Amino acid sequence: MSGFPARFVDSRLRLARITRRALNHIFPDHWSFMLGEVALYSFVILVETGIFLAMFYKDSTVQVIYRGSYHALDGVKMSAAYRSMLHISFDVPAGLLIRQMHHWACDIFIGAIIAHQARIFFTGAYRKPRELNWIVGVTLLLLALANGYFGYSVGGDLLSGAGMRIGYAIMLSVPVIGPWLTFITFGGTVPVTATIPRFYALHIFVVPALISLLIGAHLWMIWWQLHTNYPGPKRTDKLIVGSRLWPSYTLKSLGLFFLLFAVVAMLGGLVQIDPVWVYGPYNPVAILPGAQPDWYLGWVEGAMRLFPGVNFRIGGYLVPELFWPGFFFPVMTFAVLYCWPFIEKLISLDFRPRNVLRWPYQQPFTTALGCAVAAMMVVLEFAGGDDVVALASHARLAAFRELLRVLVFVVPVLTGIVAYLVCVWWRRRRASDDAALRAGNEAVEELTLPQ
Amino acid sequence: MNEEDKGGRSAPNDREDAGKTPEERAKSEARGVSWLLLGGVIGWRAITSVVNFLRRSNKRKVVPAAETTREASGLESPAEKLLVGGAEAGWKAVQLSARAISKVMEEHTRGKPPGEISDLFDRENDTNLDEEEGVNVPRRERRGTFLVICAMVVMFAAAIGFMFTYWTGGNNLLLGGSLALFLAGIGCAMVFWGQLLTVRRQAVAPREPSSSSPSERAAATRAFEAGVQDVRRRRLLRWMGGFGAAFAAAIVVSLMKSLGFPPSAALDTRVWIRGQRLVSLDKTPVSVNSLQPGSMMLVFPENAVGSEKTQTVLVRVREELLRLPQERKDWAPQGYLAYSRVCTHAGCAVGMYETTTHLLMCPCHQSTFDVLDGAQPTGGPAARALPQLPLYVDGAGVLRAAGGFSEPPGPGFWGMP
Amino acid sequence: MPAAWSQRTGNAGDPFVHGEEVFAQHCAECHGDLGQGVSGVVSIAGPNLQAEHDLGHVLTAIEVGPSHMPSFARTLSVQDMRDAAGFVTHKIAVIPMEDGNLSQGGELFRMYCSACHRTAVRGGALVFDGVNAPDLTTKSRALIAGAIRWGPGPMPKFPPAVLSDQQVASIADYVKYVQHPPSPGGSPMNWYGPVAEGFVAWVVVVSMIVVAMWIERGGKG
Repeated sequence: MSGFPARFVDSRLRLARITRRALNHIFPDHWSFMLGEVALYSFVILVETGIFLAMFYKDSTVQVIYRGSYHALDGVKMSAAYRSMLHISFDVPAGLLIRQMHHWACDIFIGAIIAHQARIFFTGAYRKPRELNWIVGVTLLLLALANGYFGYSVGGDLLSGAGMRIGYAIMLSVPVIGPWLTFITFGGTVPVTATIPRFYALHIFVVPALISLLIGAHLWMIWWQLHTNYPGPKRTDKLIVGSRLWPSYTLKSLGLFFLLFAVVAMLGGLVQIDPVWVYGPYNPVAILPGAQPDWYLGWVEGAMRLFPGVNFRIGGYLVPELFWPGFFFPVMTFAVLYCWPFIEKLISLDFRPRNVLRWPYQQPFTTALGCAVAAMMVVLEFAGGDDVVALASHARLAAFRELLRVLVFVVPVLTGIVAYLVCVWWRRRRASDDAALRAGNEAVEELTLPQ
Repeated sequence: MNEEDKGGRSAPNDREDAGKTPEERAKSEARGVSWLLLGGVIGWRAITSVVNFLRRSNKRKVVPAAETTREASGLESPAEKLLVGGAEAGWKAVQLSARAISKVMEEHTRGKPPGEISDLFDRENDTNLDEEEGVNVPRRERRGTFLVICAMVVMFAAAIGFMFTYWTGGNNLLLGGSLALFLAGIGCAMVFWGQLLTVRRQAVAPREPSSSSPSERAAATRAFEAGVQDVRRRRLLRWMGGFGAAFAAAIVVSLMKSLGFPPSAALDTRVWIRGQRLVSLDKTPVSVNSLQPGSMMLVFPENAVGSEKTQTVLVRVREELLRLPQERKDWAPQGYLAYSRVCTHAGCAVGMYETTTHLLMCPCHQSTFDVLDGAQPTGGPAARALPQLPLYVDGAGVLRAAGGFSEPPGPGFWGMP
Repeated sequence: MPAAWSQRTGNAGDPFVHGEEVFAQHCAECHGDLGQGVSGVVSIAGPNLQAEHDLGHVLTAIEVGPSHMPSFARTLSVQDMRDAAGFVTHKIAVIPMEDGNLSQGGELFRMYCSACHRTAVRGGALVFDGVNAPDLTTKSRALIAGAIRWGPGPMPKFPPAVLSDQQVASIADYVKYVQHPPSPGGSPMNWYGPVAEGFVAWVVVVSMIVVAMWIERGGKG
């Protein structure tokens, strides 16, 4: 590549060497390494569609009278924010498509983050020297959840209003600092005019900026430390095997980006998400059932539904029932996630740097634990939508919820035991293969590499 | 055949291989490009024939005299010109980019120019997977070219479809569908290109150790310590710097006051005042005979209709059913009961009333409250009863509040009495 | 229509008197003396008829017998059926279904009704054993208005002091509109909301994994 632009830039910035190294950078060939890219590209789509939406959305709770093209709300008093949502949905050309793509991309973004994180967890990729990147990744998940909630809340429709009320109640329930924290965050009791502008500023500026920054750090660390490899021929702690960034990896990765974009566009066009015009404007005295959060907070919602109505007082001060499932449980979940690489060290007593992954069956306890937690999250997701599930399956809601209260403990335990047994069985079956692999790796390690 | 070890064994062995392969690679590359061009020509022929067919069939259908004369004189309609011109330009762009990319790839396959610094990232160490796996490369590339062209044709068609839909009013389904096809076309073309039209090599490279060497670490520490020495000497300045940072933090914390007012007064409120009339949404006072047993109504104090905290649900039940505690016996004249409509669990509006079981229910988390028993929670996640509003009937037969709510309405908090 | 009807039946005496007799004998058991509706032990026996103004609709119902209602085509003469229907539409139907305002109906629906029936009127699950708020997509305006006043089963009653006749008509208008709400964004997934959306999102994440497998096929990591 010796075109004029390249020469122009290189004669000023001396980039040839760095470019050559970058083009030759090695990425392992395995589908599971692409899950993080799905998340990354979902974020790119979110930013692109978000910019379009920001041109039309108004973060204002000023009450206005609607006179627009959706005649079932003609003359209804609503916030300017909700009116702008209707405007985007009905009057801006391609506005509804972009809005739905934004929402779908968000749902997929967090799904992809979790799938990616599960891959990291079940293959032990978080081990030394990659603990810091695990921490950055968990922070990214946390920020993504927060931004999803902020985006869900600024719609000004009845569903987002219910979500905001519940978020307010959760924050209020925190012992000691809850009321102050709530008033600093929301600016008063709900519904307050201050909340939507605040959440909007966080949603489009603060959190995306943090996410971009941390994605940069995340990718830089991957680049600097090189990817891990699955166990296999030549893949040792001292060698990396894969394909070059240019051209094979670039084509694969960009191909994935456009295919993801295509899927999001298809969903945006063909599957309706968040029909705000049917929910109606937020009104403190109106309410709807099935007021679920988006799926990524469904586990918290599920915990809130299953937790029994127990509250108590400490020295006369109230600890509401909502605190335990709504705040304590998610905070503890994230605390464990943050600490996991270090907890795992105490279990495995393995303190060496590891660049070759483990197959899930090679770490039975961790895999069993991960499966158990995943099973619990699935049960909690079902609990979070139990009224809709009961309605759709003609089940009795009260009985279904009692069943879920049992399943939330039984299913994880059973899943964990089964996963452990499967791992042990598998490991025994593969023991001979592993021995051969180790022998091969030792042979490779003995080779001298050109310096 | 122990092909696996080939890449890592030793450099000279690989160089011999490399001496041979670049030529072959270049050849196959050239073959690929020629196939690409051939495929392109075929594709172009296909497009033009389709366009021509459409034009001809269009000619047959068109009746107006003006149109036929225009056709006869060989003039194309602007839309046709645009279509043909656009397709031509698009194909030109594809040709150019294909040429550019094949040129770049050719350069890469030729190996490094002499005099370049050798390092461990050299491509000569790569294993050519195709050769190892005995793939028929020309056949693979023929297939690849065909698939890439197909994907790109889909992409162009979808792009035209999107434009047409958008400019003619934009049905969301067609917009989304055509955009998805366009993007899928690009994505598939790239994936096919990567899988079938590039030389499939696997590279091996050494990893750096994860930590710095002790000497590097020591050198960095020394550099830092040298600077620290200069700072450490000035104790007073250090202290002052520390205070400066503390003040900066204090200013930031102080600014938080702008974000919200102290909560206690707003949260610890009983809302109603004794003597306030219960009014409906359209501000008419509620008289004592407006409800029959099994009815529900949304009421507010006179001064705050339609607000969050003040919303109150008024129900009427048959008096003999009431099970209110002793101190609330006279709170429910003639079977009228009023409770806060804000759920004590998470603050949703308790919008459901089930008359056969006399339960109020919150649609958010399905907590149920027994109307007959002071709205004690009977199921679901709520732990506290809905605050009750004592009522009395005045001389004019209008319902009035006999005081505030029994507790502050809304979800629980730390300082809740 | 009513004028023509009374002319044709003029020689058979006052149609309302005869109609009332037929109604009392054959209909009141299930629909109530005033057509106010009767809740049965297990399910609703007969709905409220106080908003039923459509003579043709009533006649068809008597003849055909929709849902649990028996057909009276064999037990009643044509004249009896006509008189009973006339009595229903002229005397029983006391809720005027005029002057409805669609957007006002929406506002009221979201305050009083959507808590059980959902904003998209597809019904909702209640925790009470075996009772779900019904799907309203097939209900006529008269049934909706009647149910608001009457409160079938566990549903509360909404007397005129709570919702005026005009407001009831508005709510009925809104429910009729939302029976087929516009879904310009594509498939509404039965209006199940975020639960269905989350399910689709995971299907898509899994399909993206399949796409990644296709892109990286043969890669051994």
